[in-house]
Amino acid sequence: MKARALIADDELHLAEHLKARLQHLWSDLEILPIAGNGLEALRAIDAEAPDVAFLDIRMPGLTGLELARRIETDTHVVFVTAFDQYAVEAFDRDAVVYLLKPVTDERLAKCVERLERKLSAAERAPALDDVLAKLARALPGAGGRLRWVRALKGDIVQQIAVDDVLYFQASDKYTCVITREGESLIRLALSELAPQLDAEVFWQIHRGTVVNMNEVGSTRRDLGGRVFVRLKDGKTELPVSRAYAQRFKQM
Amino acid sequence: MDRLSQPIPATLTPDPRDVSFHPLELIKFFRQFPCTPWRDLLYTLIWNCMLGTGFYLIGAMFGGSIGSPRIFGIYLAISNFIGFSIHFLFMLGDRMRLEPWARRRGAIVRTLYFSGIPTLGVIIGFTISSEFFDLGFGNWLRSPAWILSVASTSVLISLILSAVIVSRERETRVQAELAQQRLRAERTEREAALANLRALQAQIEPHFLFNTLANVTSLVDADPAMAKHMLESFIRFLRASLAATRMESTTLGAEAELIASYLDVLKVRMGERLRYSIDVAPELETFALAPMLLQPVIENAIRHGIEPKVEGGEISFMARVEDSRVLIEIDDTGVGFAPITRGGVGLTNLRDRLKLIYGAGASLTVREDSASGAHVAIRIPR
Repeated sequence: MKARALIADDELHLAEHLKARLQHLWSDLEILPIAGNGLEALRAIDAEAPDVAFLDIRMPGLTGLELARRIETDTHVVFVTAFDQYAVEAFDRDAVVYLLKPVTDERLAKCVERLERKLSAAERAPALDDVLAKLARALPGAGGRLRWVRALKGDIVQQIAVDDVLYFQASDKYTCVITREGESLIRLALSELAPQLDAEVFWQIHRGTVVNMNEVGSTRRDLGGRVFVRLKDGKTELPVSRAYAQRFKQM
Repeated sequence: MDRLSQPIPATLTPDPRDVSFHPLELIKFFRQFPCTPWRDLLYTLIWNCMLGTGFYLIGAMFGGSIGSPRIFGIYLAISNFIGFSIHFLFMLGDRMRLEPWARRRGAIVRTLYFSGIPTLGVIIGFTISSEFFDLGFGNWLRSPAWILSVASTSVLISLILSAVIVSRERETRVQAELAQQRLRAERTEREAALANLRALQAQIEPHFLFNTLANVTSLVDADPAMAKHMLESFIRFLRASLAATRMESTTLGAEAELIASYLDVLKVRMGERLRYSIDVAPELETFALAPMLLQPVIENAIRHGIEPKVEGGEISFMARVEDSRVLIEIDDTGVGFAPITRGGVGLTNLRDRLKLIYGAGASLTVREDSASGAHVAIRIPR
């Protein structure tokens, strides 16, 4: 029985080139129609159950990594990438098969050889779940503190820099974002938003309020011992609830 | 470069113990000399003599006559005995760690400490003077007049001490706050400078480089004309970027050229998935601006907006005059933003660089269009 392969890459030229070289080096291989995005590729794999799948990592719809996690058929996966420092390191560590773009005949030949061996030995495709899960967590762009939030004001949707925020105020399932320019709304509960903020700069002063300490000018205590923070704009004053007043004791 | 890689210390609050609270420092002149134990001893001497003179004059006023030099000498001596007793008692208290303990125990204990020591000092001082000058103060403990004298002297001294301590502590706090503010300002400036550097250094995104080369390789046999076209656009882009890294400033026209060559290359790769338009008002071709300020925004729009969208999208780059500012708009019809996104470093870099270069004169707004996709508007003063 002929071996069957699927190529998935949104860049047509690269996909065609790989198809041509592959056909040249592995004449027995039947190559299915090229999938142009991750969703198309998943559908094709589910329907056709190819023996091998060459997956570009950066693809619209589903990325190659996300796609690989969802494959249920016995398909050997080969990742194809132009440059992916983290992925390549992980692949080397866990002996995952990959190819670097531009794909040279030499490397492709070696890869083909390996695959032919595995298929003739009727080896099952290895489970990649662990590696992929690790990679998904370690991806760059997941780094660092929250910098921007998506806020709505009337029918305008804006990205607001977190550094510009004076304070966040809980409002049902949403959060009010108050800056010098005014108020907007973000479609996320404060309880979900607060842990993502830099805890050194953003202090929770009340069950429903998180304030940007860089915008706080002074604090005051009234006769009843309640603490208030006064913002640098000179106008705004926010009460600190007893539960959170601890942090202000030193002031 | 080295200056940027040094860490900034976390706190700059001075240790209250380092702050001298010599009463003589109430007079501004005496604050300029660095605080040393010898200086403090000298100050105590001066202080004692001043107080001694003061008491003598008060005594003379009440007594109705200016007494002999000998009486004056006695006043000075008594003051010095009292003064140095207090001085050494404080030194002892500090050495035995009583003072920091008292400071921590709250207002009442603190007050007791800082009024108790002077009182003790006064008693010791008077006792020593009495023995020394044989003034017959021996029985003074039983005399209410003398007790009053002692009490009033200690109260006076305590009040002065409190005044000094309170004013010095307030000054310390103010200084600490100023230091914190300076620290924050320095940090922001440094981050912006780093962002500047990073923006200039991260010119050629590796993915772009290798993907482009891969495309050229794959086209060389199949479609040599296309391969050539792509290579030429890529070379144009490389030349413009590398030049940008070495320049202090570029023009809007040159930046638009750079962006055009970048999008040219991408168009070969993405085919129908990318459409773009560039429109710079003719009078703005020579408008000066920082290099590589705008290209990263385009890169962002492609990477996060258009590439992930299955059907692709359109990018438009537009620059025109708006009142006293130049308005640059970069729109894309990509996937838009999620409620919170990790990353966004590119936009943060842009925001920081704009702040650093133009201050409050420039503005950056990032909006979504009703049909999704992003709309970035940069306003720069002319």
